[in-house]
Amino acid sequence: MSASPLTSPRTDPKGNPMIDLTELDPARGTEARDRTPGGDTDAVRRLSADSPGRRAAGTPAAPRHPLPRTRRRPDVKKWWSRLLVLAMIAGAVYGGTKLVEYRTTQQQTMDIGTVTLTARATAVSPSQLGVVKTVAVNAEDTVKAGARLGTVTTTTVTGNGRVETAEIAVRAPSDGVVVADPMPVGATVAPGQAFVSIYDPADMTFVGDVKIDTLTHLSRGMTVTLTGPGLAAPVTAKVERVAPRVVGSTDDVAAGAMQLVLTPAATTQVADLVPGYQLTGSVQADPDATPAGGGILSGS
Amino acid sequence: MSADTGHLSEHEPAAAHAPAQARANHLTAQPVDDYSWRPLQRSTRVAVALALAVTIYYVVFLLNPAYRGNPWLWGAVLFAEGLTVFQALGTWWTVLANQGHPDTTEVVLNRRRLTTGSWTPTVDVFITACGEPVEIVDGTIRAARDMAVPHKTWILDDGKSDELRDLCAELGVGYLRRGDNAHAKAGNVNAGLARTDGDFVVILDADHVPSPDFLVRALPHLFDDGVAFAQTPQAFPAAKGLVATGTAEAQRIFYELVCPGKNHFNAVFCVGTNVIFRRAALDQLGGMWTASNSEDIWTSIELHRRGWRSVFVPETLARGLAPDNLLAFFKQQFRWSYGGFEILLRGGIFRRKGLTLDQRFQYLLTGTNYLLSLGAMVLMLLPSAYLLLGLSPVTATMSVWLTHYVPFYTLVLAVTWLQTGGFKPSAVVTSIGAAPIHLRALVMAVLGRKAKWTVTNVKSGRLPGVQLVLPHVALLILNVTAIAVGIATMTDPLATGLSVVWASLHVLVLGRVVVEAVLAPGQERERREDRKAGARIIRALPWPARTDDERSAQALA
Repeated sequence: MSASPLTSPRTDPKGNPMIDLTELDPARGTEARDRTPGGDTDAVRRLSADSPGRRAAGTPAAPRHPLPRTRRRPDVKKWWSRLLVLAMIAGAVYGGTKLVEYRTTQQQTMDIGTVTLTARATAVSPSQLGVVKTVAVNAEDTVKAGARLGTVTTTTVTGNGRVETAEIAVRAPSDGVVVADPMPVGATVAPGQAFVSIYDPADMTFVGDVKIDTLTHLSRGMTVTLTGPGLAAPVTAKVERVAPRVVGSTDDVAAGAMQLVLTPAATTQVADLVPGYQLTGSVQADPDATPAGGGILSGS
Repeated sequence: MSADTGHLSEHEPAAAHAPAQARANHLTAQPVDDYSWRPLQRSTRVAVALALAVTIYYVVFLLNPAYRGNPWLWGAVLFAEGLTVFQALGTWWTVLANQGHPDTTEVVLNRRRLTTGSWTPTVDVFITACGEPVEIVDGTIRAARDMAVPHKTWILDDGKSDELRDLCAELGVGYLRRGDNAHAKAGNVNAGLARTDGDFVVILDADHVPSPDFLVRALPHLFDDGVAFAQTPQAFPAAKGLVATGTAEAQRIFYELVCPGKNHFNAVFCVGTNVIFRRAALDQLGGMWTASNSEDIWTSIELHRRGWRSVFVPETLARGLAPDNLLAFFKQQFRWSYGGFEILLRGGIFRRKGLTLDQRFQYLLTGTNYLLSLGAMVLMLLPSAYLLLGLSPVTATMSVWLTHYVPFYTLVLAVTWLQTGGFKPSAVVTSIGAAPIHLRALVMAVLGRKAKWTVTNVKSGRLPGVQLVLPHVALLILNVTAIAVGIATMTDPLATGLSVVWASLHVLVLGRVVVEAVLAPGQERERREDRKAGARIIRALPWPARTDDERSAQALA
């Protein structure tokens, strides 16, 4: 319907003969045939008369070639626009690259959820059965290795039937922090039974649950960034191992999950923290990591 | 009216004489640009019903809070799809209202009275000119002068061209010029109205060539005293190049489908050219409405408000030249969309009395039509939001989303396809290309700024290059960047793939617009030649033979 007759001057798409456009209007046809460059510039002048203001100002007679005129006066707006386009392209390249970098990092960061700072408590007990005589420490006291934690009165029956009492000191086996108040004075404490529990703040771990399907993205030694309430700076830790779920164990974890154990990168970072403190973390996935959790399953 | 202050020259037009161009009618029996008003087929109605069902299905899915993704994007999508659905429903409703009525007996009767001379209305034909090349106006003047039915032809020249004045003297038509150019075309027409006295006024743009039977076909519709104006379609049979063919197609859809429907609701608005006004109606408003620069639609709404009726004549009675470059197209789109937004914001289509419910709804549809571009821009940003930032408006899995979206989209496309008779890539490209311009018009209309297109700050007659399409360039770069970033950081191949395909379509469309703008200044000469050739074509193409006898015979058969 709208096929331009200009492209097929003799027939329209349906094959009907088309009228010769110049025949109907001889005057126009002549003009079209006799068109010269000079005649064209005249048309340019008429076309460029779109702006009455400019014509009113008295534009001189039509130039022979309109182009040189514009070359003499460079169009500031045109160059400004081109500059803007270049700036947009540059901005897009820069922004795009930054975005790819950022999103790649984001994608490699895997959320591991909540982990709990866990200390290993050491039970300190006297070498012989006895009755607590003195208590020298309270809960949360920091003690040095060899420090006296309290005394126990032991009673022994000698060979000749005499009852002898002796006072022995209970000493800290290592540096540590007292977990809870020791047994009270007068209580009976036997070897193997904890008079007091201490933990070593330099030997704490983070323990949390991970879903089994995330195991493929984890490997030993990966850096985990942990944040928690009240922490000025994130704590970094390393993936230590993933423990399999053991039914009935005290470290029981949710179904479909395994226990993740992390060790702090620097003990100083966690020395001030209390066991039981919960943190949330994400792990920086290593593209070169061995898949399927290679080598981090403890006991496998 | 300060019309007389600028009075420089004025000729009385010579009496109308027999149409010289009428002989062109006999060259071929094949009219090349007659609109085909046919009743909608049953398949279209079935498709509309189906589309309605899947639209509800999709909207319910969108509104389900369980699937809500990023709340901002979700809200934006809801807004965009809401607009799309509202416009689609409104358009289907309007289009289905067209039952293809033939001319009423009254119109046929009055047409006969007009041709036999028993009804002799006085008619002034205004050709508004403002700097168009004289060789193009020439064709319009001759055709207007030679129309059947006695009338006076006037050139209303805001371009103040002495060449045009001399031409008018030579051709024996009236030439009017005013002192200033206040209120642009509306002011020009009003200045003409003040200096003429015909009962009816035809308004033609300088590049619109009327058929010899323009008055014979259109004037009888105005016999009824209650009809303020009769609007006839615009047709662009000589359209060539992206912008012109795209515009021509959009106009074809508007006049072939939308206008007959609007006519059913007595809500056809004047488009500023190819229209006959009753002077008495315009007098009631004091002429064309000059408070806005979209005078045509404002004049229509004010007339409708006063109880006047309007008629759409579904026959191609004039052929014009479509905008053939992006600058002209953007200017036109800016003016039209600004007018639409003005109607919406300040037209009082619901508040003020006078309009019927149907008219209010039709004006609402017209006003919100250009908001579709806002929706299109939102939807255009979605693939980029996903590819760049991984944001998504819904959280549903891809298969759930596809199940709801694909039927909706397919059927909306199918209905559009059935109604318009196919898609033209040029129409798609130009309509998307105009979206940033509509957005700009919206911002300016909301802010109440004076509607002005500011990119026109270019050397007169020379087209701007890339500065015309900077928003398009920005969108293009955004989409290209999004594709690159999306592929580089792909996690979900299906979602990324779909977004990349979508973004690539945007790149193609926007790229075509940018290429058009960048190449245009270098093709100035070809464009001018094409335009002149187009002017010759629209004058030379034969008009179809239109007789009422033939039509009634067809109706009977």
